[in-house]
Amino acid sequence: MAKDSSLVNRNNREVNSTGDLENLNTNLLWRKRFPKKGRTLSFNFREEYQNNNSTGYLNSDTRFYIKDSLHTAQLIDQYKTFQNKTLTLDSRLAYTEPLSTISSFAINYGISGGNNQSDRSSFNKSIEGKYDLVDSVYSNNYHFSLFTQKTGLLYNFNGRKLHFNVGADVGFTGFNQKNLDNEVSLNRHFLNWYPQSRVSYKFSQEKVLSFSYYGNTEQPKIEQLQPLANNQDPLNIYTGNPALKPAFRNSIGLNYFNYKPLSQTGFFINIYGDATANAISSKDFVDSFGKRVYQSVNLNGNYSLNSNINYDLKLKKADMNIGLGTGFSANRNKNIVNNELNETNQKTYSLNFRLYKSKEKKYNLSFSSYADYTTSISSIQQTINTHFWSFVIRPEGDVFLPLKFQLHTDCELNIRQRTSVFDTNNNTVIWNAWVGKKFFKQEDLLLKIQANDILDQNIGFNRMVSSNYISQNTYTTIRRYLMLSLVWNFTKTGMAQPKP
Amino acid sequence: MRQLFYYILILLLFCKESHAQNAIFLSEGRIEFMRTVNLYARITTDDESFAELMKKAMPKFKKTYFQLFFSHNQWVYRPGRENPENNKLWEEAAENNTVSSDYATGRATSQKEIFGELFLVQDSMRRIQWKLTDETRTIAGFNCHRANALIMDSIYVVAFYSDEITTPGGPESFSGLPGMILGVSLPHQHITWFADQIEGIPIPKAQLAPPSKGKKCTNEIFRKTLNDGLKNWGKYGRKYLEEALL
Repeated sequence: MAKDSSLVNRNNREVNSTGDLENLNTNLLWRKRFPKKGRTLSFNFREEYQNNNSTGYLNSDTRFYIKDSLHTAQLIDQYKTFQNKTLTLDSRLAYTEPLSTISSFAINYGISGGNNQSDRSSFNKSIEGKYDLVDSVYSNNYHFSLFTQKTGLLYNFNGRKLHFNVGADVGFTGFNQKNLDNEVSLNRHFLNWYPQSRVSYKFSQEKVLSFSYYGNTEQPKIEQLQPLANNQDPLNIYTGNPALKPAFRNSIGLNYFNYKPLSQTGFFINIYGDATANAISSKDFVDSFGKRVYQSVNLNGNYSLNSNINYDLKLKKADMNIGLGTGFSANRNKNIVNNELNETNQKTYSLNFRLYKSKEKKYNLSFSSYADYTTSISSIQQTINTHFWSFVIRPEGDVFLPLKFQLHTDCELNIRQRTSVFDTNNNTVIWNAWVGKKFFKQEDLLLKIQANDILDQNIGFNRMVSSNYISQNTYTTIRRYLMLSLVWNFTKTGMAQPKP
Repeated sequence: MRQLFYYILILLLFCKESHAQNAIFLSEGRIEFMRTVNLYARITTDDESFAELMKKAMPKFKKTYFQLFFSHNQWVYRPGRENPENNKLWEEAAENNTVSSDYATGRATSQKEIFGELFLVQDSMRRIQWKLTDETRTIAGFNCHRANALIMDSIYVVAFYSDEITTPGGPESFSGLPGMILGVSLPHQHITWFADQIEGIPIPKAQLAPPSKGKKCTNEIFRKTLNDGLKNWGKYGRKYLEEALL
């Protein structure tokens, strides 16, 4: 809808497809230990093959309006075929040499390669009514192969209190991209770094401070590279970008915990942050009819930060556990909208409070509540500063009755503040309950009768604050229902590994 | 025949006597104990495949060293040299205990670290009803006799003591035999303590001073504190409690 709430477009479409997927994975690990303690040689090989074939029809009717009156109509009636073959091979040889009883270094060398082929074809209906006219805008056969040689060193130190490792891998990556329709190929080479470090200090087993840093490369996918427009959703057309480069992400984490099991008190701090260079972000072009054409592009300046602090304690007299927590997160996302660089800054402040009380074989009671305050502002639409509160309250309880009967109830209250953009009431109360009986000595068979969403308020709601748009999605879901079920818990998982 | 029998008997007595005369009697010195835990045998999970994974991640035996200083009726048992191989392993209950005992007063002071918290248990020494046996073996060059007992209602203890060391002590709170305990085995708990070095050296009084740091409590309060904290921990909690109270 436009700013004055007049209709700009309407789309009706029918998509159906049938397909089959073949998958073959192999994983091989060989390891040799030497007489010298701590000296090892290992070889790891991984293979992944996937063949995805599908065919289907797209039938779409899109109408564009100006001031509520019909401007144009676009009809699509296409038959589509899609074949995607992927073969990934990855091998790695690693050797560890002990320097002393508490330190060692490891050296590794690896070769990996990937072969991808994506063949998408779209056919329009001819006069005879057969789908035999190739639509070249939406058809392409593309090949993308990737070859990487990677090597690096890692130093490991395991003291009584201090543990750390530091090292880096360097990778030489070659891209070979070939458009099989016109035989135009593109070769590119990249040098990728994979630095890493992790330091932890153990005051005691229950009190640990740790810090980590990783640098990682994210390779583009064939879907992002293939020069082809995808009209599966005629209002959101994705086009590939063959010039896409790998992205490099630096991430750091800081973690502290101090837990006292005897008094059941704990203090936890978690901080995580990352910044990405050449981030694979999106470039959107939205026309006045609300039709969006977008592709992946490399942009700098994206970062995210996430932190939370939690404190748990036990009230001895009341035999009750209490938890308090607070969190802060911020992220900046850059993208291009209608040839203009856009920067979206989002911040979320949160608080939580939890209560838990239980008595073995009598009852379990818990209560948790969360409050979030979100603000989001994007540089191309500074006038719209979105900020809203949202709350979640979740009481839950179990009562264990004689003869292995059990009564369970849980409830989730969602309260979402109305914003200038979303002014409808979205508060819900979802209440579920069941009564059941357990059987056998291990209590592994449960027969229960369950009532879900007793108040019939499950409206299917999702509000997402993204780069330059805020979407609120309401959808149909399964609402109130009654169910009788029999649940059997398996306690054995898998089988023991064969002795070498 | 009868004469021959007496002859042998006298010979035997003479041998024993001569041996006893050659033996060293120690009343002061230092002993190093190696405490060995069979980690594989102590895995609590019922899930076999998970147990296999745990075995791959750790060695079968965890070895920790302790020192025991003794002088007449007093002794103190405390952590000894470090074993760097344990740096990567999970810490179990009360693994770094210091226990000082005084046979004359019948009092013991134990310093135990439980989940990073330090406790100082001050109480009377543990009284153990030992059953002496005829079985003998040598530990670190000393002749030892075997004695058996049951402690804490259910823990079966096998101990080897040597009367060649006159101090009636031993590792942890195991004591009360007519000589120093040089070897202890808890077959169902899969833990053993064995002396690997013994030296007779003068021990200054200061070395025998009881530990002083930690939250002061009695055996009863210590047991209750742990019990309250571990009651919902199931099998692992019971094992932990048992080990902490040794």
